[in-house]
Amino acid sequence: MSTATPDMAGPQSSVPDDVLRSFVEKAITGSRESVVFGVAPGDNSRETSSPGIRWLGPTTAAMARLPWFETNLPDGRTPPQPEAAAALLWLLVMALDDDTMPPTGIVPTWRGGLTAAWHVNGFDLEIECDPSGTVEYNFAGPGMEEYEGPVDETLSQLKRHVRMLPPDRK
Amino acid sequence: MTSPTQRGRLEDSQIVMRRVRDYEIITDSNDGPPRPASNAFIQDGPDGDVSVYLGAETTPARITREYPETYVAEVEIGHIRAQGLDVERAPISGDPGHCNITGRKSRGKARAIARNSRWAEGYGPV
Repeated sequence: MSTATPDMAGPQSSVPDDVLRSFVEKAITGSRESVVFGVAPGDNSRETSSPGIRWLGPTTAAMARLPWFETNLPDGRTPPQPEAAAALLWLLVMALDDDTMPPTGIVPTWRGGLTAAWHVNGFDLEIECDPSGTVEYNFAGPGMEEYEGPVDETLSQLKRHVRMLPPDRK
Repeated sequence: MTSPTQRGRLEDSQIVMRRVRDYEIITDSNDGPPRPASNAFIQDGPDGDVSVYLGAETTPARITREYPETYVAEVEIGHIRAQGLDVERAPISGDPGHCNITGRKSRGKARAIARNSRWAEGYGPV
């Protein structure tokens, strides 16, 4: 298992921690303000600075629907942890450099982590971040050997798998 | 009296039911019918086992009585065993039909089980 947290981003990281934190807080509290990098409505000067991450809005909207603050979840389940959301968003921003990425589903794990999942035209990609920032993913496609394991430090393998997903042409 | 399913190995054709929460539902190809996500069949406790209920010994209404917000997915035990996993009885108070999906799970295995599941009649998302 490898880890991928904002602290370990190294030279690849271009999203400051405080920006991500603000971003996640707005997403999980269902703020009516724009969740696009914490920009308030009407602030078009910055809102247009990130047109290349079209998938980000639906992704954070999916995150906002999770049971973040529930304290009485059944079966000893841990509610989703903001640390997992931050790690997952950072990873997605780093790995999904294609504006045509189809939207992802966001599903919590029993331990308080989050999984981003794509199931498109026979291709499956599931990326799981746990609250410690540990990341693993699974990729499977038609006629391909399934991969399940850690994310490599350069994200090169994950990016290669991401590029195999059929694009969202909507 | 002990029923046949309370003795020996459970049959592949038997159905087990699994509670699924609304945030554990996903679609294939974004616009396919909703199905349980892989996470719904990966882990449900610190020991890694996944709780299920024998369809022959309980009902969706019974297993959702304390969790009315949940849906119910059904899957044949044979589909679980096809992934190298097993279903073992683990009776709990008030529910002798409770079982655990045991074995080393992976995302791929859980996804295969999820894809082979169906919603119990009247207990799936609209």
